[in-house]
Amino acid sequence: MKALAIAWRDVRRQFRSGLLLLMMLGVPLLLTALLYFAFGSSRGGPSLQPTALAVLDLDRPPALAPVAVGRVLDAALASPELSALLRPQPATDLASAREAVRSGRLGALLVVPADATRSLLAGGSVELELVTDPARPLAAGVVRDVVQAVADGLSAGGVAASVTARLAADHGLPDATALALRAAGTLAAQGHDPAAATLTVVPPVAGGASLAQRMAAQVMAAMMIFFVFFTGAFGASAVLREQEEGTLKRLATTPTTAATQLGGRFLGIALTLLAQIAALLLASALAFGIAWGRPLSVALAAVALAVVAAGFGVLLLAFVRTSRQSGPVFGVVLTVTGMVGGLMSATMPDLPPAFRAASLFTPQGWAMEVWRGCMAGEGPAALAPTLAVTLLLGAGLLAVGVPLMRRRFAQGV
Amino acid sequence: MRIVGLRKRYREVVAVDGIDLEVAVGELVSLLGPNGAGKSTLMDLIAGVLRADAGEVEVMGHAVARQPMAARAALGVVPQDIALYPDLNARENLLFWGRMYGLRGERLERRTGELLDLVGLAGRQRDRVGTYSGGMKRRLNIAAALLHRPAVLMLDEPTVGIDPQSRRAILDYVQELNATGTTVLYTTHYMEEAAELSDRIAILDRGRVIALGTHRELTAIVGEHDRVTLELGDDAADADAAFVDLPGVHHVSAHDGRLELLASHGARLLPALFARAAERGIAVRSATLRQPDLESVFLHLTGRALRDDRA
Ligand SMILES: Nc1ncnc2c1ncn2[C@@H]1O[C@H](COP(=O)(O)OP(=O)(O)OP(=O)(O)O)[C@@H](O)[C@H]1O
Ligand SMILES: [Mg+2]
Repeated sequence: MKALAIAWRDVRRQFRSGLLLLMMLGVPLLLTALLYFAFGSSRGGPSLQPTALAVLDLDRPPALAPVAVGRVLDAALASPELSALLRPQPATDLASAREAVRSGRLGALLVVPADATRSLLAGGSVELELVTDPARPLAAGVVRDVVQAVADGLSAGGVAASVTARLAADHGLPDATALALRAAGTLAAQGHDPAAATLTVVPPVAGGASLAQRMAAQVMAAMMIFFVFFTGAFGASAVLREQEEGTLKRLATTPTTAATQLGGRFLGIALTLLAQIAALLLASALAFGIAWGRPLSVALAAVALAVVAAGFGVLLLAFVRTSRQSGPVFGVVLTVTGMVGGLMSATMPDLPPAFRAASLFTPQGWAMEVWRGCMAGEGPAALAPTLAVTLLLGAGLLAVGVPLMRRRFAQGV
Repeated sequence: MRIVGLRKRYREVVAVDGIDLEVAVGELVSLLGPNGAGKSTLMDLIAGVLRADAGEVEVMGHAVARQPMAARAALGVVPQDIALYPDLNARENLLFWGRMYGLRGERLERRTGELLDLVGLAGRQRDRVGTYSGGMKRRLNIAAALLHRPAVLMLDEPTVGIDPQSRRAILDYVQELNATGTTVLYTTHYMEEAAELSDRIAILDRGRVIALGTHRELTAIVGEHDRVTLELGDDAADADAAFVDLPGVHHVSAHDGRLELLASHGARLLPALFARAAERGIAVRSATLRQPDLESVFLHLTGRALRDDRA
């Protein structure tokens, strides 16, 4: 297959350039590592304020219960180790607490259901509802991690327990997404024995690291998007370099159709971008312990990112005359659009909503939306709207850029 | 190969101005012409890289305009400028170009090996082409056009800027390929190469074929006219006027500190030339007398020298 040979040529050339390789993989990982270790060592970091967490304890334990879920949670969340991260306070009614989260007066709300203790003792599962503000992904992540750790401790009453977090549907809140934390565990026989039931709360030993991880994840996603867009642009502009080398013209003297050349070229760009994304995801998962999300969501997000980055690259190619110009032009355009797209401020809490709205005028902003959802654990269904917009945007960019490219490099491409 | 009424203009320049040319199977034809004569443009038109404004090209019975893929499959094109991937090695380059000509598998491997041997690069095949010398790149540039054993080979000034040894080697490959049946269209502005290699020579100037024939036929055009070259140094610019009126002088042209004269009975003219130079105070550093050659033909037909550089 000639198209494959062309794609392979492009992948090989891209990965053979030390400078490009550094930009594709080295720099994004390095920037993330700098931040990770800066925050990892300062245990919580100076920039993050403790999140105000309201606890609405509706739990009504049976009279002789050895343990009360609500009270254990309260005590655990109020422990001094967590004071840098959480400022727990009791809430009195659901409606006003939700409103407080929505309006930003509270960082998060944890609801302990009425039958919590009863159903835990009966060996059933307890659903703790966590309401967070999606505009503050870092705070939401910290609260989720801490509550999860506490719930882990609760359900670790000597039994194997599994805790899975999932995003639940919006519980009537217009803006905020409700995060439901399901602590599923079965108490074995000895769990009823107060002495054996070690319902200690595992303090988030990795509390600082968890914050660092949370920040690293945001930064890594942003850096990945930033540099993947560069790869897309340089991948598209490879044709310019070939024109200058004379290899594009030589290719036009061989019996290779324009369609084959175009197909091979885009296959090469797609493979390069996907390889870069995969390498960054894997390396950052290993180095910083970033959880990227569900495998299928991650795969879809990677494809969407590759498509939109390639599309933007092909469009940018139209504004570059020579390969010498490509560096500065791509640098300026991708840095500006990346900043507007929110890639430089991924870790800043409480950005004004206008900023978020502005980011959606850039392809990078949409890509970041997709990855944010992915990291929040969204499944393909929940991710579908942002994914669809991003893919359509990419397709639209290609629809504009490819004909321009074909016209300009008429002797080949 | 058949070329009929071919024309191509770039905005204000007519690069190819109505060329008709037929090259028989197995023939070796040289295109000889100065810089800007339209040689490369003609090659691009034959390969179908450029679209002609008028006229037709047929390669091995395939019209380039209507069956470009079939025509290109029969062609091997060696571009004037090196067209290789500098960040891939010689082997990877050849494998890639071979694939573009539809070769694959064992046959591709074998041809790649053969050609690396032929151009003497087997030992450096794993080094990136960017690290090669100019001559090595030139040889690889040729090899890349030979992988598919083209029926017609077009070379565009393949010997520019390389040492005499590599040049000799290239001329030898070309002759060898031609001897084994390959039709060759060889572009050059070195008349010696055209004279040595070709069955026929087409002299190109300003987009037109101004003469076509064997070496013998072409030199016969000038008849008994010898070519005299005077090295004058800085005085050359206006010196041509000093000699035009001498009896027997047909053409005078000055360039690069040299004066080219076309004259009947050049040997007899020499004393008169020196006398005139002394009279006008023109210092002659050296004088050369040559029998009619392609240079003289060009001078005779255009009044200009073929080469404006002696690289
Ligand atoms: N892309 C182009 N755009 C405009 N003019 C061109 C272009 N390519 C060639 N020309 C012009 O066409 C004419 C013929 O050029 P061409 O390259 O065919 O000459 P050539 O005989 O190959 O010369 P050389 O010996 O220098 O390679 C020249 O006047 C040149 O300036
Ligand atoms: Mg040329």
